[in-house]
Amino acid sequence: MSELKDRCVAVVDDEYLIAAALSVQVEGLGLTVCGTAATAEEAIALARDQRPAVVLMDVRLGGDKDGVDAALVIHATVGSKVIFVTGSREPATLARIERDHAAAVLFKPISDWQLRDAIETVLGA
Amino acid sequence: MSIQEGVIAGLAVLASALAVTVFARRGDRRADAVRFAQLAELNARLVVALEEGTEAKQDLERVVAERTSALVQRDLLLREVYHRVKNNLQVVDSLIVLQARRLSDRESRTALEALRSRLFALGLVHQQVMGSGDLETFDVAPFLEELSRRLRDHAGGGVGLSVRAAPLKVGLDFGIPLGLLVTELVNEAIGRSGPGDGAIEVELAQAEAGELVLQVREGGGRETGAPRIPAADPASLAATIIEALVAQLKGVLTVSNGQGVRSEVRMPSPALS
Repeated sequence: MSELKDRCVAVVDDEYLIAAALSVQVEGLGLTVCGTAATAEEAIALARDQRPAVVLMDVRLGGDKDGVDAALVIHATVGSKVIFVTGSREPATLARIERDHAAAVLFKPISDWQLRDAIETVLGA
Repeated sequence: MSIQEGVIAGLAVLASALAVTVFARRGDRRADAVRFAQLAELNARLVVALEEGTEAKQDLERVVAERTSALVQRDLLLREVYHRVKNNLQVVDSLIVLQARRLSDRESRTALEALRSRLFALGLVHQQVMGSGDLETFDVAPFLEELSRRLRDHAGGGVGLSVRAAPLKVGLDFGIPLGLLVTELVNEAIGRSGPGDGAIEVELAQAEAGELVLQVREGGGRETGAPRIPAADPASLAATIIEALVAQLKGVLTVSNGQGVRSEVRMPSPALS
């Protein structure tokens, strides 16, 4: 298994503008965005291909599977740290995230400061 | 004749028939036969009335089921609408982030960051309603706690914060202007505070009958001369927003400048319709 790419971050969100904004925020921290994905399947394929150190994962995604499903597979097969980025505070969603060994959970909207803090913590761990 | 009337009439005739039967015990067989025929007819009428009752009950159950499903449908639709509103706010927020990256001057970028926190307050109100049982009202106390904490976290810099709010059920009409007002006051306080300053205090309390008092206090601690008081600076956007929201809430704003700035808004408690 090849090493994870040190400073590479994958962004998963089914709203393309939200994914674009998160990407510029990540790049603003001096990190590289190694791709964006809009569905769980795309996210898994992207992670296998690019081996990101960190995945910013939305929970509600287009398609049958959600971000929690994708995160389970990515965590198990690639080993990336997954930071959930969600707009929902619904207990059912949070309970699902909880069972998924999330590296961190951020609630939209996210400031540069919060993003830096979460990514540094996750990479330092 | 309604079902109840039928049953009551039937029971009345039955009772009189029984009474007559007792008195006529020594009567002849012909009379007995008549009584029997009457009872049989009454019995038949009661059976019909009971069947009608069962049908009416089934009709009612059908109506209740229809209403229940309409209510479930309404909840689903409302949740969907709130979700859409919140999602749209997030897309607008993303547009602002993308725009901010195109700007080189610091002042413009700071202005856009302030805009983001106002949008966030709007989104958080919708989140509260989404999470409430009736999808209309929510408790303002946890909302103010989360709003203030998130504003502080958003700004970074580790300023202390304490929030004290009395439990109070509010609707969107009150929650939105209040949330936006707290956002302005807290952001102003954060802007004037630095690490090592005392904690910012946010308090919402019920005063005498029907009056609410919102206070945002800075811990102070630094001697920086006269701090900028937003409400006294008509040129600032914060001042314009604060003035408009205080007017909308039918409140009165007092700003005092002692150990740090202290803003107080007295306003009538919202009446829930």
